[in-house]
Formats: sequence, C-alpha cells, structure tokens
Amino acid sequence: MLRCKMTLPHWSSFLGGLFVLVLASGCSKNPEAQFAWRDSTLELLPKAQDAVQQSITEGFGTPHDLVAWDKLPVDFGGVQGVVQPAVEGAKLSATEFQVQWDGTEDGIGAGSELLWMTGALAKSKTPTATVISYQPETKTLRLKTKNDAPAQGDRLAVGLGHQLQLGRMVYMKNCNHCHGVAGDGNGPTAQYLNPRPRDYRLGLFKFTSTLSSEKATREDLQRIVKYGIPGTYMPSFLLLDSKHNNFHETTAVVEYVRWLAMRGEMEKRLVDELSADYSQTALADEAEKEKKSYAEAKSEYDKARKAGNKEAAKPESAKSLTQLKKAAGEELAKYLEVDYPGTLNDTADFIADAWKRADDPASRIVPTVTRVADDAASRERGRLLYMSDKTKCYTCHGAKARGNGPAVEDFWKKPGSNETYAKRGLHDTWGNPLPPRDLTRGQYRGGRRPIDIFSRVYAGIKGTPMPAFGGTVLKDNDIWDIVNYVMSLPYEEQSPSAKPAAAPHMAATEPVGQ
Amino acid sequence: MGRFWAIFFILAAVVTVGFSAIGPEFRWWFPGDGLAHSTLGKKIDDLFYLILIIVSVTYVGTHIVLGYVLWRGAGIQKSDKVWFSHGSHALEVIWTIVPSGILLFIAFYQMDVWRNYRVKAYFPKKTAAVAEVTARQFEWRIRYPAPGKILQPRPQPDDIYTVNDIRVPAGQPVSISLRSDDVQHAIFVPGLRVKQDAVPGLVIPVWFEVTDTGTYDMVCAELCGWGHYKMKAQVVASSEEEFEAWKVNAAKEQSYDGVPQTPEAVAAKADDE
Amino acid sequence: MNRSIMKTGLVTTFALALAIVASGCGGGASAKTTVRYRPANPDAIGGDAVAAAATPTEGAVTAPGEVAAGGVGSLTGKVVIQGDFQPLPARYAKGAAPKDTEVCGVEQIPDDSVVTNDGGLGNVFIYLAKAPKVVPAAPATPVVFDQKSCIFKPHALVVQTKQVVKILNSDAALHNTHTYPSRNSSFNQGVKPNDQMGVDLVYTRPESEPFQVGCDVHPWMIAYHLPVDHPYAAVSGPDGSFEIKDLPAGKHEFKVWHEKGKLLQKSLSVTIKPNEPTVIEIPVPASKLVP
Repeated sequence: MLRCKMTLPHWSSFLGGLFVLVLASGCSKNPEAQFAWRDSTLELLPKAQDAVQQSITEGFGTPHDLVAWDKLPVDFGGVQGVVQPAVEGAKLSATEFQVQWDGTEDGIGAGSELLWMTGALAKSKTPTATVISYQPETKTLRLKTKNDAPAQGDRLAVGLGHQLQLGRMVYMKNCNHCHGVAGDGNGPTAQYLNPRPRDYRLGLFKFTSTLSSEKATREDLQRIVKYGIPGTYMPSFLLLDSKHNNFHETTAVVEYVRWLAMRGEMEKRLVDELSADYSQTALADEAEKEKKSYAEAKSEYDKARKAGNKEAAKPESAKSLTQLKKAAGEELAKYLEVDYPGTLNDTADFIADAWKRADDPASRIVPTVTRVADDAASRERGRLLYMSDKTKCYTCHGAKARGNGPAVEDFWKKPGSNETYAKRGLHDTWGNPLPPRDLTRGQYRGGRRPIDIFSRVYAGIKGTPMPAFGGTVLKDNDIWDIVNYVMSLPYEEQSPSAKPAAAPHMAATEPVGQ
Repeated sequence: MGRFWAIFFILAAVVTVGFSAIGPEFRWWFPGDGLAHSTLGKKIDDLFYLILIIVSVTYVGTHIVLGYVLWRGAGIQKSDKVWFSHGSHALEVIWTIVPSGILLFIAFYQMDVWRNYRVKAYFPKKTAAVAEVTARQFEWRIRYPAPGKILQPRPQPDDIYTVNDIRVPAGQPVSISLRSDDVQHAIFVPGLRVKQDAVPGLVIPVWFEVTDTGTYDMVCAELCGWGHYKMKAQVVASSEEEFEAWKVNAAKEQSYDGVPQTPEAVAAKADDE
Repeated sequence: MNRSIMKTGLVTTFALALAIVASGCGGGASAKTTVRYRPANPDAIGGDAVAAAATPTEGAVTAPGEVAAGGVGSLTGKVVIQGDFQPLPARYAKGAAPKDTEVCGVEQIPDDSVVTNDGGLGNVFIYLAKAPKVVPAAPATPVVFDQKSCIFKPHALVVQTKQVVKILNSDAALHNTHTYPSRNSSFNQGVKPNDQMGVDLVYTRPESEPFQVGCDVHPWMIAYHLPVDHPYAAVSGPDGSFEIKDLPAGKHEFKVWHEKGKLLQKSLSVTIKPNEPTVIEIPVPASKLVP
C-alpha cells in the first residue's frame, strides 16, 4: 500500500489568504443604483421599449447622471444670469465679465461650475467653466477656461442641479429603502409594509391642498416629509433640515420626489400609448383570439360542407404570433417616425403643465367661509349630512364611522378590465386594498388641522374612491358642519359631563399648582 | 519576549493616568458640551465620577502589580524553585471581601438618586405633566394639553400635537408619560441624562428638570427595527413664558381653517367682540 | 507553541483588521452624481432659434357645420353578432338592487356589458382612428351623462375633446362619477341627489380607447367614455345600428371597440363618397363577447 504523506499548512497562512480576499472583495462597492422600468415597459416589443427608455433617459438620465430638463417645473438649483456688456469700448474678456443674475447668487464661489446655456459657447465642445472667484459688489465672475470670450447677452447658469443632487443624496439615504430608487414604492423594505409605500410613478399624491383634478403642491409634500403620516410607515423627518450649499435637505428632497414623479408618470403615459398595440402580451392575446375565431369559423365551414353547402367560403387561416409581430413591427416603425415625437412632446408638456398648475394659487382649496362654530348644533347638522343620501358617507365609513360601511363587503370591478378584485372591499388606483378610514381613532393621515379635513371632503382623496364633494354636493358651511362632526367622533364616548378619568401617573393626579 | 509584557501593562497604567489627568479638561468626552443640564443629571454625573475614580484607581493599581510581577518573573532562572500561592485561604477571603464591600457601597450610595428618578412617591412634589410621548416605528408623537389645561390620560379635542419635537419649560420639574404603539423603544436625551424604555401597554412617567434653556438631541436607545436610526428628535427647553406662548401659537396653528387672515378681517372680528 | 508562527498569526490578524478598516464599507448614498442640462427645446440653444421653435401649429379648426372641400358623405351601418348569443339576464330584477333599493330598485338593472337586439350589438364604439387635418370645432352644446335608477345613461358615451359633458343625477341618492382615463386627468366628483344643473366635465386630450367610468357607491354602475379630437365617432344603438354624419370624402380607417371584446377592429377601412351614404356591416363573432 502506498503511503501518502500530507502536510497541511499552518492556520496562520489561511489568515493571509483571508486578508487578500477582504482587500479584493472591496465591500465598499455596492450594486449600482438603477431606475427600474415598469413591468409594462418591459413587455413592449423591443423597438418600442427602446424608444420609451431612450426618451426617458434623455429627459431624466440615470441615478448617477441626472438630467436637468428645463421643460419641467423643477427647481434644479443654481442661478442663471446674462452676460453684461464690457466697459465702454473694451471687448468682453473670456475670463472676467459682469453678470446680471435672475435670482440671488448666494453660494457662487471658487470651484462653482458654470454652464453656458445660449450663444456660441453653449454649442462649443466644452460649454462649461470653473469659477475662480466672484465679486458680489460688482457682480464680476472670474473664470478658469480655455474657451473664447462670451457675447453680451449670453445666458449662463452657475451651480446648476445642486438642489437635485442634494435631493438625490437625501432620498437615497432616507427614502430609497421603502420608495425605491425610481420612486416605484418597491424598495427593499417595501414588501414588509402595510400599507405599501407610495408609488410616485402615477404622479399622484393622496393628501393635497389642491382641487380634485390637480397635483400636489410643494408645500403639501413638505408637510408629509416633515410630519410623517400617522397610521402608516411614513415617519416624520422634522429634523432633516440641515443646509448644504444654501439648499435645505427637505426642500431638496421634495424637489427630487416631484422630479421622480414626473419621470414615472412620463414613462407610464408613453407606455400606455404603445402597450395596446405593441406589447408582447397584447400580441399574444390577439394571436390567441385569432386562433379561437379561426377554429370557430373552420367548424362552421366543415359543418356547412357536410351539409352539402359547396358555396361556403373557406375561412382565412389564423395569423400566427410571428406574423402578428412582424406586422406590428412594421406599423411600429412608421408610428415611431411619424407620431411618436409629437406624442412625446405633448406628454411632457401635459405633465409639466399639470405640475406647474398645482402651485398656482387658483388651484388651492380656500374655504369661502371661516370654520362654522364647533357647537352641538353644528355637529348634529354634520351628523345628519353624514347619514344622508346626499353624501352617503356611511356607505363606506359606516354608520358608526368605524370604516366598516357596506361598501367593504362588495366585490368591485378592476377599472379597465372585465375582472373583479380578488379581495372584497375598496381599492385604490395603485390596486392595493384600501379600507375606508375609521374616523373614531383620531388619526388623520393628511393632517389634523380643520383645513386638512375640509380639503379631504372638498376635493376628495386622490387615487382613492373618496370623491370630491366641494362646490357640487356640499356648500362650504355644510362641509364645516361635517368637519366638526368628524373631528368630534374620537371623543364621542367621553360625554362633556363625564369627568375625565384620572391620569395613569402621579403628575396628572396631582395637578400643577395644587 | 522578555520583559515586553511587563512594559506593556505598566504603559497601560501610565496611559490611564495620563488620560485621567486631561479628562476633566475635555469633560470626559461626554456628548454635547459635556455637562448635565438637568438637576438629577448632575447627581447622576457625580455617581459616574465616583465610579470612575474607584475603577481608575483599581485599574492602575492592578496593572502596576501585574507589571511588577511580570518584570520579576522574566528574571527567574529555570533552576529557581517555584512557589505556588494557589489555595491561600487568606488571599481568597481578602479579594472576595474587598470588591464586595466596594460594590455594596456603590449600591447603597446610589439608592437616593435611583429612588428620586424612578419611584413615583419620591418625584418632586411640584412635577407638572407636560406631555404624553408615544414612540412608534419610527418616530415620536407628542400630545400636550391645551394652554391652561392639565394632561388627561385620554386624548382631548383641544390637545396639541407635535412630532419629534418635545417642548418643556426649563427651571421646573416636568414629567412626560411615555408609551409605545408597537414594539419596545427607549427615550434617550444624553444632554439631560434621561433614559427610559417605552414598553407597549405601559404608561411610564419620566421626570426631569432642565436647568438651562436650549435644544437637546434625543434618540431611541432600544434597537426597535430597521428604521431605529431614524428616530431622532429634539427636546426644546424654554422659559415658562416662552413655553406657554409656544403652546398658544401651536394651538392656533393646529386650528387653522385655511381662510387667509387679512388685516381687515382680523380688525372686523375684533370689532365684533 | 512555535513562537515564530504565533508572531505571524498576530501580525496577520492586525493586517486583516487594518484591511477591513481601509476598504471602508458603505458609501453608496454619497456616491458622486453628475447633472447635465437639457434645454426645454433643443433648438433654443442657439439663442436666435427660439422664435422659430414657437408653439407647434395645432390642427386647423373650422366652424361646426362647415363643409369640407371634397364634399361629405355619411357612414351608416350595423354591428352584427355572428353566431348564437344568449342575451344576458338582468343584473338585478326590479326592486332587488342590493343598495338604496328605494332609489335603485324602481326599475330592473340590466347587465349592460352586452346589449343585443335583432342580432345587432349595442354600445359599440366606432371612431376614426386618427383625426383628419381639418376638424370642426367642438359643439357648444354639452352632451348629457345622467344617472337614473342607479344606471349610467348612456352606458357608452363618445364626446369631442373640449366639449362639455354635463353629469346629472336624477336619483334621490348621491352618486360619484369616477373616471379612469389613461391620457386625461382622472375625475372623482360627487354629484348631489336630483341635480339637474349638473357638474361639468371637459376632456382635453383624445383617448385611443374608451375607458371605464364608475360610481364608488354602487358597485354595478359602470359606463364607458371616449373623448376623441374630431366629431367622426358613434356608438351603436341597442340594435347595433349607427350613423356618422358629414365625413369628408375619401378613405378612412376606423377603430371598433366593445367593452367585452375590447378592440374588435384596429383599422376598419371605409371609403366615403361625397353626398352619398355608405352602408357597412360590422360582424362580431359571438365568441368575442364571452369573457
């Protein structure tokens, strides 16, 4: 028998190997952040998919290379200005000139990035420069650049996109793990949460101070970020407000979220334009239908032949999926060339206008009367309205306002399809089950100020079955009566005559000053 | 190795002495400005310093002895006879009694502070309940009674609410009722030396008297889930008048009905009254 | 133990700790991002090109009733079910509505998803797939969308963009009209009981296919709306017949859509002769009407 002598290396030499391994693996390298595409985008025919992805990437970029698209009503950060004429007779210098700014030029200093927006320099190979210094008194910029001198009237921007960059950083630190990189409400922790984190990509936010068909204002989103949403996993980020380069974290992250919402809505709208005709599933469905109707016609034909009818026309054979795809592909090529650019432009304009309009004071809900005195009479009027056929609040929220009205027992139809939802009860536009709010808990997701409750009744809650009552069904003073009634519900069991129960700890049982 | 370990342990003692010498200059690297800003906090700091002194002296002493023994041991020849100390009854008794005595002393000495901090009957007589603080994943929701009212155990229609922002008056003992909505959390205000677990189903009173007005950081000190790190809040201590004024203003903001208050409207209302 | 081996072990452990510290885990959120500028209008960079890139010209609009140059003709026809189709039973018999019975129960609530009469198929949308270059402006008269006995009337509604849809409520109970469009903004507005003044709804953009309209109080209430940016659209009557008037002469492509069969015809080609009615028949296999 052969005797084999094996020598194991000492354990310490393994440590050396481990050391090399740790260095090589470099655990600082995280997987690269990417904007996830919608499922419906990925179902499109490859050419259609490319078109959508290209349009979105051109307009919005990637998480590492953001695009500040001037069409969008987003405050990307940075200040724009116009080059002023040089001193009489002299020619404009390439490295030192005066600028008339559009806004306040705080934060411009050594190292700031300059971008030429119009003029010959904007079209040059390097339309950028670095600021060496800025003199606020004379509004003079000194640049480090190899470019030619600008012309009088050329537009430039300094520090463009800083707010978006900060917003992205804040978002990736605090929001990403629930709301996802693309704002699709599908971050790593999302699957554990109920209710699900908001998917911004419909451009829809529930709690706003705007009329029923308008989007959310910046202030609405700021309130949500600052104070959170009780009853959900959205916590308060009140203390998230340190300043970086003149930008507030909260303002910046709200701007970034708006931008993500615009990106998501743009993608959805573009896909919706294409998916009816150019998606894999639609074509597969069509092929299936073709097959089915051919089989039917064939059996009719066979029957007719058997019956001796020689004139029966032989049905055309069903188009195969490959044939359908080929036809769709040809049609698509034509569509992309002729109609798509217009659709793209139109969609972007539509989204930009809607977001612009939201911050217009005309879109804001402003009650025409101040809050009706919160007394027993008003609450009773509110209660009667709540139980009336005029508002039908009770069908969803229940006669005892516990969020258990008869509507939660029904099976509802999915909009846009012939199916009903698998679960009983109401659903929101995102397709999640949505129980009507229990009004006796004193928990108000959109804020507890009277105006917040007023707005919910006046304009409804966006993306939910809660309709708008303002202006049509209810007058403003009626709404105030309902607000008074609803806000009294959590305290109903404590009738005013009943003495509040003793506090559970000493401090309240031994009140101050006694 | 020779005398390496002897030098190593002696050096540890020297470093400890060095840090002890400069420690007070840096307020022992406590967070913030290093001072306790509550009455009880100062007493807790005193306890800390007492324990620090005991521990430092013991640490330096043992290291010097250890160093000495190693130094001597390094010089011993292989031919020298070994002396075993193992099984010495007297030694065992000494080093059992001495640490026990020290621990007992600490236990009794701190009882006063513990009782004042934890036992309701020993809370300062004039403690005012300012707010109910409810911890939940992952924020602090705070409920105050309306101006001029006292805190009730159940929510009242005119209560004032804030989130991640505890307001208290300085210069007087105040208490908060600590609750939890979901899992165990812990309130921790390092600057005030206040730390208390929030336990679901319990309402735990926590009292403190802030000595200096200012803003103090507050965090969660119980690992409560994946968003534990987000539970940042602040305790803002202001003068009694400022606190009351803040409450009045917060109550007004909370009852905002969305109708812009033009100067004319305000004047007209004043005329009516 | 071998002293030198112990030493190597010690040194390696220190080095390992150092390596972990040096490699610095984390830092994903702070990774540097760049921002690029994209002008609203790519042509505007030159400065002087701004004027040239003014608002794109909208489709020319003529006054309603104005006759197109090549003459006009009408398209009439019938949507016919091929094969056997058993008419659907009523959803709820008279007085059997599960909600607001005193209001919704006054008449039988039919299953409007397939309406058939004399072999014809009702509630089919027939519309020009793409607006011609010149279209008449939207009529000033609104189209009425009523809610009576907890039924949307009509069940299928076609409307020109910018034309007003007047939403009425002829019931003594609240209805809310909740639309689910894909190109327009969604609309969810309560309409008060017995409201004959109505709530106005205006669609600003044409849709490529009809979309669902519902009422969140009564689950069975469903209708379909289709805004188009031209007047050349119709909905078939209960017997399947339809008529589109004043079509400009020439070849047109129509879309045919039904809520059960969805898009029945993607491009139905029809040639319209001036001053002459063109009559067609649109066959729909019965198999397409079962879900």
